[in-house]
Amino acid sequence: MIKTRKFISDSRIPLLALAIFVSMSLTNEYFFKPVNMTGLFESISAYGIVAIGFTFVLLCGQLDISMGSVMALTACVFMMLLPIVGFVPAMLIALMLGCVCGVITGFFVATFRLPPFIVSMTMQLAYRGIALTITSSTPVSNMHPTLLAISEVMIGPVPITFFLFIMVALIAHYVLTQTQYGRNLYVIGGNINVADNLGLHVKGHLWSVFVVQGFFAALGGIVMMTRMFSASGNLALDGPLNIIPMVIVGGTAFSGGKGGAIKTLWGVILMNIIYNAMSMFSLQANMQEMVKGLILLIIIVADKYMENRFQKV
Amino acid sequence: MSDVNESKWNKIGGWTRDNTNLLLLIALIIAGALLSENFFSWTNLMNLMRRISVNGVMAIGFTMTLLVGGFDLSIGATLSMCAVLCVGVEKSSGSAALGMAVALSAGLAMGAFNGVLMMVTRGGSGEAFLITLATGMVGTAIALTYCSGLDIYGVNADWYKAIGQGNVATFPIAAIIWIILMVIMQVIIKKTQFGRRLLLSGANKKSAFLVGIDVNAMKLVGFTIAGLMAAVAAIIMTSRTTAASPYSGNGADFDAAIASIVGGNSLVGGKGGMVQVLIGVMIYGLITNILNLTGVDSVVQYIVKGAVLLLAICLDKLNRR
Repeated sequence: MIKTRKFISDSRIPLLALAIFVSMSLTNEYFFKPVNMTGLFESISAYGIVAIGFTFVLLCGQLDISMGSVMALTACVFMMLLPIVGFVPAMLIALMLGCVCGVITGFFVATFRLPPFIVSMTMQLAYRGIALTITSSTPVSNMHPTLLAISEVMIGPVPITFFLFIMVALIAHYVLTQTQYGRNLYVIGGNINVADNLGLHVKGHLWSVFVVQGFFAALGGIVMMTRMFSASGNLALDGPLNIIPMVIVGGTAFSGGKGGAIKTLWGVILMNIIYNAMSMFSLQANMQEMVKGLILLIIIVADKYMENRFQKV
Repeated sequence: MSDVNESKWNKIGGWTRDNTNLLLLIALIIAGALLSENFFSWTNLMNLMRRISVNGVMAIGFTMTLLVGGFDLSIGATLSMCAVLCVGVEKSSGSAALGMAVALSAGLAMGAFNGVLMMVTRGGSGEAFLITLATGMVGTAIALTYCSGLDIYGVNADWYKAIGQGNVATFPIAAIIWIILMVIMQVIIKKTQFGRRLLLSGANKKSAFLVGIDVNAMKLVGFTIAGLMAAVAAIIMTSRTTAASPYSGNGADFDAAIASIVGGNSLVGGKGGMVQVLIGVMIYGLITNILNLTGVDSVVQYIVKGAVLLLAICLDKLNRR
């Protein structure tokens, strides 16, 4: 009995996802169609990969809301380079650019110990500004054969990019739980002063999580290109709005030191099923944004309330 | 901290460190004067005042949230929401006064909502950032839903247009409103017991709580004023343009944040005031003016302004060290 209760409380997010999935399949005739299933899995992969990167940042007790802008910038550079240098070099350059974005954001946070939210807010605008400038505010489209080929590889109704996301999540899970680096992140997120006294290289670790997120944001931007074939400076404007709830719902806390990659995996799947269900009930786009904002608000307030509820002020 | 044997140069050095913002403003004024011979003409100065007054009113609200130890990213969305509500209600009811009342109460409600959430979470600036990020998204969605994503036109009352366009003896009314609001706020936070409590609760909420100050109520007041100021800014803006767009507040929160922080209001709360707002808003207005005069693209302007903001918070951090 106790075992069952523990199982339910540990896996409530997967169970909730399953429950919504089943009830949607029963109540809505269009939900469990191959077309919608493919769309659901496609929409998971790009933002899901970025959410894994965001998990690293949150675990370390930091915050970086520039993921949408990094996706836009790297996707624009990727699409501009694609016809010139070919697929693999363009991808490597875009991934490197993502890392550079993370290095810049992390520099201000790790070296000056500035509040991460205000730094990432500034950098978010700067990266988007650069993306808009280099593309002259026009979309860059390209039906490159390699991109087309990747988008057409399917296993059943599931596109290959979804398996890339699962793989990324598993690797991240391995790094976070089985390596010293991953354990150090939990320690730093739990209590940064203790980590400092333990002799951990706090500055390096803080810096590294921003680089990890930059890398995953770039990868997510490229994955997004395999189904959109067009990048613009305004790509992923709703990135933070979509990605933050996925990670927090999964069970990673803003306070740091709590959570994991597998939890984020389930959070991503649950939120995407909810977003998909909203479209199924043909909610207006503006109303959908409002519902998403309210979900984000409730998640933030609940998380912070649970963290601070024993404090008087 | 002043030492009796402190040399004159140390004093000057200390003064310079404390007043970097004022020196930056003077440097920008000189740069403006060198760039354009019309810079010091009365017309140009008054135009500048009229243009910066919307951002100035926003910066007052933003500074109030900084002073109580918070941070408000939602005021841009509140500005959009109040602007479309103000013009929309005016258009449908034909009464400008009613539109203003609706806009002001919407701003008040939005600010109070933020404040209540801050009370519930007992948050500092990190919490405030996340909460107002989310309420800002909700506010933008409300504005978009209200006007179905379209611009609204329909301001007809002459007295209403005068708020943004009129002058009193060649001095713009919008700037007068801004300055009066700043004076009122400065008197409240520096000269009254309530204001001292507000600043203390922002500077150190634990000790403020221990001496018997209702810190949560102070947070509520700070955020409510921010919402109200966004509504006032929306009224000034719509009366100047006689139209409202659901996107008009995009980036306005960022502008207010830059102006407020560049002026010298500390990010940790409890330190600053309306003098800093005046200096910061002038600096911001002059930077925008100079960038426009030199023909810099509006997207590149954001990168420049972001760099200025990063520099300002680095300076703030170094001063506190």
